[in-house]
Amino acid sequence: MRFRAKVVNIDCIHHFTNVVNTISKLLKKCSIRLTKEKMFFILPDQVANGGVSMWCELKQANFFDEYQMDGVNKNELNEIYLEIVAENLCRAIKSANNAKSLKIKLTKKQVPCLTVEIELPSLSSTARIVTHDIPVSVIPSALWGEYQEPEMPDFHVSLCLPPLKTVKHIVERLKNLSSYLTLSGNQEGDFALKVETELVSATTRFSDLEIPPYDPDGDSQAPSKLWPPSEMASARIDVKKLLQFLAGQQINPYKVICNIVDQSAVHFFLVHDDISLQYFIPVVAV
Amino acid sequence: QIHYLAGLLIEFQNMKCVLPGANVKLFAKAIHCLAKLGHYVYFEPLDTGLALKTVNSSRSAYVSILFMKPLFQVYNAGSDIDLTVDDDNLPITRCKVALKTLLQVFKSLANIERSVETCDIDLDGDECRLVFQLKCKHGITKTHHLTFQECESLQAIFAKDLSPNVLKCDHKVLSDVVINFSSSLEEITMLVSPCKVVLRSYSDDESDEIAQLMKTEVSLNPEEFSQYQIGVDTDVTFCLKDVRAILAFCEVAAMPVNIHFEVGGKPIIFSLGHNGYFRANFVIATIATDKNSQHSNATANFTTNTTFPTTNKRSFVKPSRSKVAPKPLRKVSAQKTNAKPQPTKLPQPKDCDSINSEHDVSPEIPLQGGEQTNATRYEGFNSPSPKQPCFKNVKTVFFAATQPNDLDRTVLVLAPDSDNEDGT
Repeated sequence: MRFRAKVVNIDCIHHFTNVVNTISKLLKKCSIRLTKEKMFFILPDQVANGGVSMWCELKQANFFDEYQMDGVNKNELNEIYLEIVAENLCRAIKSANNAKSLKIKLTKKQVPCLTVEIELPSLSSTARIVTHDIPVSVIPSALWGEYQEPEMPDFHVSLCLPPLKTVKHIVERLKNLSSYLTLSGNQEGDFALKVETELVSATTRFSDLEIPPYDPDGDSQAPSKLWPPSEMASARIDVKKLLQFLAGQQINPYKVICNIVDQSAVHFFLVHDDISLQYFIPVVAV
Repeated sequence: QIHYLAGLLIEFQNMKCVLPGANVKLFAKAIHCLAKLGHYVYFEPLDTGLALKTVNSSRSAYVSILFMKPLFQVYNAGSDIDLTVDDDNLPITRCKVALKTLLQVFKSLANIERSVETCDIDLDGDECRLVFQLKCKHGITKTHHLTFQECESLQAIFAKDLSPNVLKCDHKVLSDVVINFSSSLEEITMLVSPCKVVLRSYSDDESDEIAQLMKTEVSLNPEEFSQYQIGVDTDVTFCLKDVRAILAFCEVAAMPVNIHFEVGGKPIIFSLGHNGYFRANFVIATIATDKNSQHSNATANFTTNTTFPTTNKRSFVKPSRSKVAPKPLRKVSAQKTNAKPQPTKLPQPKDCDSINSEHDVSPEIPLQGGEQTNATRYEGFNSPSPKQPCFKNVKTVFFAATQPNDLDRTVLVLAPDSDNEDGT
């Protein structure tokens, strides 16, 4: 197994830093899947995470100037799966704020590590080199099945969220009232955030939100045809998890699609040129 | 005792100095830095200026910052009383103040920079108060009366100018390097060779858990330093937290930093200075390793006794042997108010060294002893009863202080004993 990638362009470095920062805000331990074409950050659905799961994929060619990956074997197992503490990666990449180059490679020190090597400008002729060795654990191929792309559930409503900053602001205020928040929306572009306690109920409503176009040939899935368009589908979720998702955002997607499965789950889909990030939050039992 | 106390009280009357606004920020930042390291700041008005010193509780970090006379509008160390002292660097009045309290006076640096016009520092012997009076804009005067404690002189023993390794650079170089390390990292190792300097995160344990921690390493080219003198290829490990506090101070002081060190087990000294105005020495203990104890044997200039190998790998610099109190040459403890200075020579083992006032150019040579039971072994600040064995397994004292009740042990200067290198 070999992995070596290098970025020289400072914009790409910043872009990659934003992705890593966003990911590290969402989860503690993260799985990284490396293939010839793509790099994935995965948090599989596990009880330990409270049922939350995340899937982020980026096309390596859009970020890295050099990329070499040799997986477990050259055939069906030509991939590498690693588990890493997201915060470590985040901290390591932070050194690259104004780096001349960023190199990431799989190494074996006392334990297998992802070594991040950053070349920084210096006062002398040779650059300053910062090296971070981040311990990782290699996930055996037997377990790779757990890390597959989650299947999109048959959602009832799909709409584009209002600007994340606005939503974040509102959710931050609402979280003071209760730990649970109900997200609801319908196929006509209405969307609401509601918090309800014994004493108070507070709802923020948006209307005329964009409905993501359904492309029958493409990847997007159609919302269920059985669901009446004006009917609001809702899901009651943990406000902290929602806030984690909203607050950590550094990617600046041009669209965030919110899919709601009534009484079941909320699924966010960030749309961006180079990256796609999906985040599932299941409902909280009443 | 009473006489002694009375003597001290009389001495305490006259220290008075006034700092102009431009330098109050530097003074305040110094207090902030000291507060990160120790609990008390020792004020020592010298003839050359006002020295602020502190030491941390584990005795592994010592700071001495000297604000020299030209920085003050008015500077009076209180030399009215003839103390039978013949050297002008002898501290005449000494007091220590709790840093937590003093920090309240200089809390907001922004505020100080903006509004303080002068800062008066007066030692009020009658009331036993150290008075800080900040005269600010718009006619506002803030007066703080702080209680002080009389105290011993705080003096570290270290040999800055005999260090074989000297690096000098802009503080920014160090700050830029240090920022790459985790804020929770306790200790850092610096490895030097003629071709590069490497700073590496240190973990004292090879256990599994530690293997799970992220390790960071930064390498620097000697060209980044304005002076790069490596006499001994070595690696030294010291507390990163202390260094961060030092670098925070350097940011305001805006002067290049000099780093003097030798090998593990001997202190590393960060110093800043601007001739005639300001001098700061930050002495940090380093971890001693077995191989380093052989190293120090090799350096002919040091008469430190290193034949007793440091049995405890983890301990920092060993306590210095008792007799040698850190007195400046020819000086005597100021507590002896009733007599002429009489350097008393106590019987001692062969290895004793000359000690000079740290702010002079010539060095003091640290005494390092092994864990021997010796009736007069010194235990640093906590005034020792000679019977207590000094087994400090953790960071220990590398300097000594004179204490009021140490009068009978005051001593002095001894010429280095050159035939003691192999412990014979």
